[in-house]
Amino acid sequence: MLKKILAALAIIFILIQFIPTSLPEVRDNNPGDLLKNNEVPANIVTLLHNSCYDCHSNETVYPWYSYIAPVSFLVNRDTRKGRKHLNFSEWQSYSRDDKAEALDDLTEEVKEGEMPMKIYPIMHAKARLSDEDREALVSWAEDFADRLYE
Amino acid sequence: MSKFFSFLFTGLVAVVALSSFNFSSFSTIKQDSTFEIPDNINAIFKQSCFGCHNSDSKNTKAKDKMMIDKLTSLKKSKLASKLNKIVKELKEGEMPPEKFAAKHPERVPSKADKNTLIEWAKEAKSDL
Repeated sequence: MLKKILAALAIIFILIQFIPTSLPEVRDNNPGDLLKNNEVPANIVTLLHNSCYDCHSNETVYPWYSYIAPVSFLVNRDTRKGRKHLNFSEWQSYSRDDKAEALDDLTEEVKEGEMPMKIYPIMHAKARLSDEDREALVSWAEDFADRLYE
Repeated sequence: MSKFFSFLFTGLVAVVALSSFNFSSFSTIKQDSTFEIPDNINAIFKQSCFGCHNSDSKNTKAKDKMMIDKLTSLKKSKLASKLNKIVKELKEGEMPPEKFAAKHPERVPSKADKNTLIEWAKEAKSDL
């Protein structure tokens, strides 16, 4: 019985590899990127790169296992959703109020521990945020948002 | 001993007198924002949004996103964000949520009311 179940799972695993999924495109040249156009402190640049940019920019770094189903389904969905909500690569094309909203959401989500998503730091140790990291990100985002309206 | 008590008493009186001194004039100086919600807008908010989006709301998700009774005390950048959300959510038909609308059809704003809110929020954020 167990053998049969394992065999069935193996077949399912092989079959789902043929379901077409195309992960969102990676683009390294992003003239409208947040970090290219604004003075952001070095520690914040590091935090954003390590904890946010895989889903919230065009510079996603896909690990080898992200091409294998069913992980590919998850990565595909999360990256697409992430970029749609906030894409730092296209920061300059956002209106002032859209920027304020993105920064407002960032402070909420990071404060409440909702971002980065729980599943992400399991495989990305660098993405884990300490309490100090969270505070630093939040106070940077608040400050940056305030300066948009000065 | 009675001297000690009378000393204590005068001290107490002084503290009470000082703390009841009206500092409100100072706080109004600090809050230089002219942002106010007009009555017609407040009426729509009350009818359709306030039930969930207020600071005593039991709906924590709605509360976290926006507390209408706190809007006027927000700093510019936060207020801009909230007004921006109002415009987007109403335009995209995301608010009020479907479930809520099905349960309370009488609370769903009319098309005209929605437009009034959208136009007001747009105008208000452009003034920031």
